[in-house]
Amino acid sequence: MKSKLYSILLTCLCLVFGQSVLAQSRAISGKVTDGTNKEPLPGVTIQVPSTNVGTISNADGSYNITVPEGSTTLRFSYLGYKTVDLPIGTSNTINLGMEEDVMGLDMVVVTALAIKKEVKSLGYSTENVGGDALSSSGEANVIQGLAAKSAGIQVVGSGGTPGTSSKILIRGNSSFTRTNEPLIVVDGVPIDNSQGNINSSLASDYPFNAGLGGVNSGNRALDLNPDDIESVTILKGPAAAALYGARAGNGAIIYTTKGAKGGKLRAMYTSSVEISQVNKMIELQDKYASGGSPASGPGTDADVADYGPDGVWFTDDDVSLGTPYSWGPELTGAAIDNVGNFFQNGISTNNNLSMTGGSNNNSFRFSIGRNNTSGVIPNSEYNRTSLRLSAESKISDNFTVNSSANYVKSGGTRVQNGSNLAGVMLALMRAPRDFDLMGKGETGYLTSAGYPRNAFYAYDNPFYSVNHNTNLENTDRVIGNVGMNYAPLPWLDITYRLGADVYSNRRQQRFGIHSWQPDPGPVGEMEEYTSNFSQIYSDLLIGLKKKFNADLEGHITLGNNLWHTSTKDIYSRGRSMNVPDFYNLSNFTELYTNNAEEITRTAALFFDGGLEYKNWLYVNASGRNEWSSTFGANKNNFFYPAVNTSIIFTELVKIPNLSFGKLRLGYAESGISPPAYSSHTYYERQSYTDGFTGGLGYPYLGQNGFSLSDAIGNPDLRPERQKGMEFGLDLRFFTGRLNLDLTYYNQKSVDILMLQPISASTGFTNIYTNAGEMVNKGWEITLGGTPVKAKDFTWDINLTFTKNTNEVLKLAEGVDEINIETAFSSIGSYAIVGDPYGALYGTQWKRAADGQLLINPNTGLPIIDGQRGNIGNPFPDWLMNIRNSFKYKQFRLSALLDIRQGGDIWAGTYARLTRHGATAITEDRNEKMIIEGVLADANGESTGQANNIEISKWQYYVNYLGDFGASESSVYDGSWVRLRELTLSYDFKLKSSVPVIRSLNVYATGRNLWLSTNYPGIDPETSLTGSGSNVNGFDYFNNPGTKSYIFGVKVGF
Amino acid sequence: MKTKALIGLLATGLFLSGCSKFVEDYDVSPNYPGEVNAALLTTNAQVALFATYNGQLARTTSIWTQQLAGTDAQMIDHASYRLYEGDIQNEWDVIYKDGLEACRDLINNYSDGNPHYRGIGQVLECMFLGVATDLWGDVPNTNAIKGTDDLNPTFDTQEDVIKYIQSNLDAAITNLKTDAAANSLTPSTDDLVYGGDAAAWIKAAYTLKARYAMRITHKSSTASSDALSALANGIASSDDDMMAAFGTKGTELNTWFAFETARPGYLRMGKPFVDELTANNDPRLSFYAAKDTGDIYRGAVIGSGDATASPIGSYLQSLSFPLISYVEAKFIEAEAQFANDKGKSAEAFNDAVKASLMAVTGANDSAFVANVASETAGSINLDKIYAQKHVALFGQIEAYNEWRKGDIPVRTPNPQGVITTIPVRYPTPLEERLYNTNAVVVHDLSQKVWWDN
Repeated sequence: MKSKLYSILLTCLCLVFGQSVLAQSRAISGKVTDGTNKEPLPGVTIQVPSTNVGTISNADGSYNITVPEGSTTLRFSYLGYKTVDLPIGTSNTINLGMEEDVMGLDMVVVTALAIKKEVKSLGYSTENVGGDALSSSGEANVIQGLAAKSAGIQVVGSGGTPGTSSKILIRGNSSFTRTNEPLIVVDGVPIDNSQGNINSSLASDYPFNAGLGGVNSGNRALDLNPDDIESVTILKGPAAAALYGARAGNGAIIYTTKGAKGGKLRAMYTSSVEISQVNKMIELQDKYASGGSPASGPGTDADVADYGPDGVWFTDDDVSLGTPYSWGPELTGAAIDNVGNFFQNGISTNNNLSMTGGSNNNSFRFSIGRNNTSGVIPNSEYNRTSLRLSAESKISDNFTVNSSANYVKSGGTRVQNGSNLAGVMLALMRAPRDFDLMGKGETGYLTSAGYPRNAFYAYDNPFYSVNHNTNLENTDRVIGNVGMNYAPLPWLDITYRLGADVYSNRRQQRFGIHSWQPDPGPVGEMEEYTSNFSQIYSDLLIGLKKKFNADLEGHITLGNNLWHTSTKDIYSRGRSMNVPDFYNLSNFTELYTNNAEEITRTAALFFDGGLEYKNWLYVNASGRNEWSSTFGANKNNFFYPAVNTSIIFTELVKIPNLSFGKLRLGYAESGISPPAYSSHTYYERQSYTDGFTGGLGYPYLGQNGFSLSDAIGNPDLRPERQKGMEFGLDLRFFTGRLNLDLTYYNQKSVDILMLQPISASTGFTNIYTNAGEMVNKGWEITLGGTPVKAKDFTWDINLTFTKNTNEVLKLAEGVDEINIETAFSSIGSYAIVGDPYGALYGTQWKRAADGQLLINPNTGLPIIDGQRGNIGNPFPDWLMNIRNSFKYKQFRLSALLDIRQGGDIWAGTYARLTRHGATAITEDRNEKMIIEGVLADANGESTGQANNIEISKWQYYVNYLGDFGASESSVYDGSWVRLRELTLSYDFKLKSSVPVIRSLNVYATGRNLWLSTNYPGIDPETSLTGSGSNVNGFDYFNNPGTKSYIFGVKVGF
Repeated sequence: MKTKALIGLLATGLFLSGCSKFVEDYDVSPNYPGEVNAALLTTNAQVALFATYNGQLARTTSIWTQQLAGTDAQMIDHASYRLYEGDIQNEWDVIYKDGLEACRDLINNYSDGNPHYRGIGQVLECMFLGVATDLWGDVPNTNAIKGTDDLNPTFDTQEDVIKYIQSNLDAAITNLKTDAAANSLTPSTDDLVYGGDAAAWIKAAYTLKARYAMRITHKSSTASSDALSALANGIASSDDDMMAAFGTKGTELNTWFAFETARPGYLRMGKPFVDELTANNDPRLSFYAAKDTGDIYRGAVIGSGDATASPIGSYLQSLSFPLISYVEAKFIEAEAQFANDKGKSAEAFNDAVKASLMAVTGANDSAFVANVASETAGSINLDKIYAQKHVALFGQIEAYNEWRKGDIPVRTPNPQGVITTIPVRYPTPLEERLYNTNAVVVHDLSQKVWWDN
């Protein structure tokens, strides 16, 4: 009767906080130790299998547990040790010495929805990265810290400037225009990882791609302190992430923070110092001065900017406004090293203090971390203070409560990059070698009248930019969650989790009164941007277990998820500064402001269940039905299924030397939601510009104007769907001395949301549709081994190999290519049917049928084809990482080699500088040459006659290698081999007589110390538009990458 | 057990409807309205019009006629006839998705009971279609601006587009002639061009009819007579000129002015044009051009990239810019009367030149008038009309149209050019080729449009 009552109550989902009444239980106690060294093991989980009855051993290894009548076994499990089932006999004392789990077979990982599962039972591939690996990388960004640490992922940083974004792709790109980045989850609660308004220094109605020039802001996961992370689980494909529904189409990265730990009060203090330098720069010529032009070639007169004695430009005493070209006469003096004068050594300090403690029933962890980074570009900095408190409380035998709160304050001064006049690289690299940007003294970059000394008047002197065109950013963020777990019955477990992620991100962009960046010219400008984000997330999980018989047991989790996200942005701009250097909007004549809000809601019901047969066969299935406010108005819910199986075949057949072998097979579907508010067509305030000027916009002569937006809304939108199949093998040889993990996957994305471009003559340029299809196929191989394992010396090798092949299968009806995102007019990022996604799209040379260049008989130069096409694939052919770790007594040495094969980059910087005569390759500019090719006739057809027209080499540099030529000549191979990390550390073995200090570790790490590549630009791991954009492979005056030296110490108390 | 199942179903039902309710009503954007009004659309269409006639299209055509020379960056590309399908996409987009779309939305959805608004919408519509067909030849019209109802609009022939312009202008004139009282809403400050003055719109519409009547002199025998009958009701003084209006704030700047400020050095005066003005002692020279680095008025040799030559002067960079003017009307009259009555033709010609002097310099110049604007029935000829019209319409796309039609003044193509003749059209935009299965794709810039043949 009572159980029936309980069942009914449960079905209505009322939480019953009553005592579970059980008949005749029994009290058992004992002590758990390490079987080898006899040391007590605290924190060991002791439980009755297939029930929720359990406890944890105390600091001295002792435990007490009350088991229900009829319990036959007691299971002991502890990370790093083999799980053991001991029979419950007549004795009430059960002791155990545990054996180390060398092969890690009993490891438990956190999977979707923070459900812990044994790795053994998973039918899909997951990758675990330890928190130590993350923090030893020295990266402040927890996404960048994952680079080269796992098969199947590609991390692209944006250069060595502090606080920039890192983008991570798992198994390639699955979407055309929606995000390709995975869901980021911290302790079971997803957090925001957006890059915000990509470039807040432009109004949100800026019609072109704001990422192409301006400030590269960080991705929000940058707020996490790597020192707080215990482990990272990477869920790669739909099979792993399906439980997250329409936000996990690109996989999920689960960060688990270091939890509360009871016992004696313990503390850990880590401190490190990092020195960074630019690691690769474009080689410039140092022979020729300013002058000449790409159109007319080398000139005989230098043209150095000089505003005359009054130091004010555009006055009558101006000698010259300067030139961006270096086609002048030979230098008379030594070439000025503007690049060397500009970049400095960046310094970063990182300090973390954490404390844990508590009793058996209440435990906590508190940490405080501070990262101060100043970059290689002067006046660039990033600071982050992170406070985190986690607590866990065991209120009764079957009821625990845990919660954590993380407050982060981060921000700093950001740096401009890319295609804008205030971009530091643009002005720095284009300055001719006879112009000194730095000058003498602290304000040597200014004239006597306070005007910036620009090498060419319209390019802001980079020293001026870093001091006067600053972008100040500040974020206050709170990530918190509270969870409870109630297990009233042996077969029933209820978990509820409520999480919130709230932040306020404020940016202020300043342009000095003499900066040429604002439209229409030097008037001074400021922009204020605030984004308020809040997200509430709620998970209710009801877990049921049943043991059918001795061989078969099953479990199922039923759940409900509610998700509410809200973003409110306000942007204000003031133009025309009145009082110089006073940055308050009241000090500007022209004001403009706009605001935007977005609220999305998702609700879901899901199940996740599995059967376990005799410890070697596991079958799992899950399904999630999700409702979302962003799906079309006509149908707002969709279902995502998943099924997988894991077979440990070494339990069935014994293969010599193969200690463990597992076969994995899985199929699942996950999705990506449409953008908010796409199911209707709205009126918008337009602006009309052509990329050369600011154009016309509103208010216009005191009037406002609206017309229908360029995109037609669609009430029938469906989510994008990733259908993934994966097959894997997990083999461990020689008791774990050699391990091989192999996965093959095939992930097809269908119904890909496209702002399907339509021709403007329809009155619109886009319509939202589900039209595209794309496939990602690939291999992930992880090979690990311990070639040498001696008493004092071990050598581990770990190798991962990732190969992803992407192909766009289908676009909309009759459409063969679409523009992914607005880019430059000379180079675009396209999805083309039959080619990999993200193709570099630009102009090409006209060629004869046999592939030879067609040469214009009048000029001796090749001819550009009127139609643009695919000129490169920015994604790699394959990636490989090799980590060698050596341990000798207390010394540890580890080296991580990162190899990328393939991945084209449009070297826009290099091509433009070559056109300007600035790059080293243009040194032999006056020699004569003949471009190899065949002469064309008046109709542009081949005459068959080999080109015999002599030209000067400068014409070749301007019109072929430089960006006057076809864009295809500016695309280079970005393959590399780099030493990503080299770490040497020493662990002091402290005598127990030393007071207070329990452990001491010192280390030195080199980050990115060595790079080998044929790419002629900066470090080929670079991104112009950052993590919030799908454009890849553009290098147009991006800020350079860095290498660094880190020295640190870890002290345990 | 049955109770259990029943309650289970009940709970599931609650959950399902609960989930659905949780996400309802969050799909309407709080950022953009779903409906507007006639005034907002009218202002929008006019701003799009200013951007079209005053922006990049005019810069490129002025470079091609060699009134200007391209001396840096992309302007050198255009001057060397390196203009490809991706380079004019933006201008085409503004004409269609912004200009024509707003006009047709206004005409079809927001002007019932407001014939004045409808008439203005129709005139603006014709101006967008006109510039599109003049530069691109065959363009979408009948099936354009239909959204999802026609995603691949067919291209109408230029002949049909011009016919449509004429009949649509007639409809506009009828609408504009209705009584003000017959309108529930009348345009006022939202009409940036004429402030709601229907009579002024009617005159502009007639002169526009005359423009397109004379456009097809090679193809129609009634071109001149059609033009003359339209001109009789057209713009009769410079006070009635249709001018694009600009302001001093960042979002309202004359794009010639904005361009010279943001991209100085990209454009200079063209030598052939400056030489002609100098030879005639034309007083407009000091308004059209500014002095060069040597303090004289000197045009850049075409193809030289000479940035030391004269930049653009004050005339193009002012707060207004002519769209349809009295000056143009007079030149149309002079050309139309030429076959008919050379005396009237000469008179119209003289008036045109004098009006241009007044509009540009603000004053008369008797020496110049005596030399150039004193034609008689015996001395007037078409070459003179074309030559002076070219000077008067400096910086306007119309100058390029008439230069193509009349082939006067004679120009030598840029020796640096990647094709051997000066382009006589624009290439079909990239996205028409890619996304409109019915697009008529032309890459060859030397292929003449229909009325130019």
